[in-house]
Amino acid sequence: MKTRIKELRARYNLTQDDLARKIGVRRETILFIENGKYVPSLKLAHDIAKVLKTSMDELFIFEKE
Amino acid sequence: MDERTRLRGFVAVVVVALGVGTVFLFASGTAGTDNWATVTSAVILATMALVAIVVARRGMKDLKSGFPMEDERSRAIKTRAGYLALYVSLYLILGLSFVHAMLEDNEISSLPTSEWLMVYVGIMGSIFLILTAYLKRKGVSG
Repeated sequence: MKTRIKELRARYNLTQDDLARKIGVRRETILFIENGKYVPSLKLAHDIAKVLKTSMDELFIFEKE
Repeated sequence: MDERTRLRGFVAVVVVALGVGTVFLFASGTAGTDNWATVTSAVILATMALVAIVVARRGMKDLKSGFPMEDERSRAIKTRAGYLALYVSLYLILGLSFVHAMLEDNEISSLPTSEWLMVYVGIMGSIFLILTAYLKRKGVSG
């Protein structure tokens, strides 16, 4: 799984800490999601998309394994 | 229940457990009479206190910085580590029980059953901690 979280964070000038605080998770969780090492729940994905003012479709790119 | 209340609850439970343990240690007359039992009990109580202090300090630090003590990823890690620790320890415990039974059958002196239980709990706890540390680095799927 690839994500555009890093790119969108930069657009809104948010650090991993800022984003984590806004959605109420630990910073490592954002780090692992960005690196594709953790697949978030539907609710968390929705929360991230909402903060980054985008859709889940735009945020996450799933590739065939 | 919010995280601050959970942290206070955790500290309260540990304080009660430490208090009861200390009272029991002295009231049972073990302290000072049986060195091995006294040392073992003291080590268990000190370990409990140390773990509680580390957990409480880390929790306070996280809460002050505005992060939750636990989120869905850390819960997923704990769940996976707990499941794997249980699975692996069941096999280890079966193996150790077999060794224990063989030693007893052959009248070779071994640990008493109560101390084997401590060994089992220690093994299970250690496997859980090792797996938690491993999964934190490797990552888990949600």
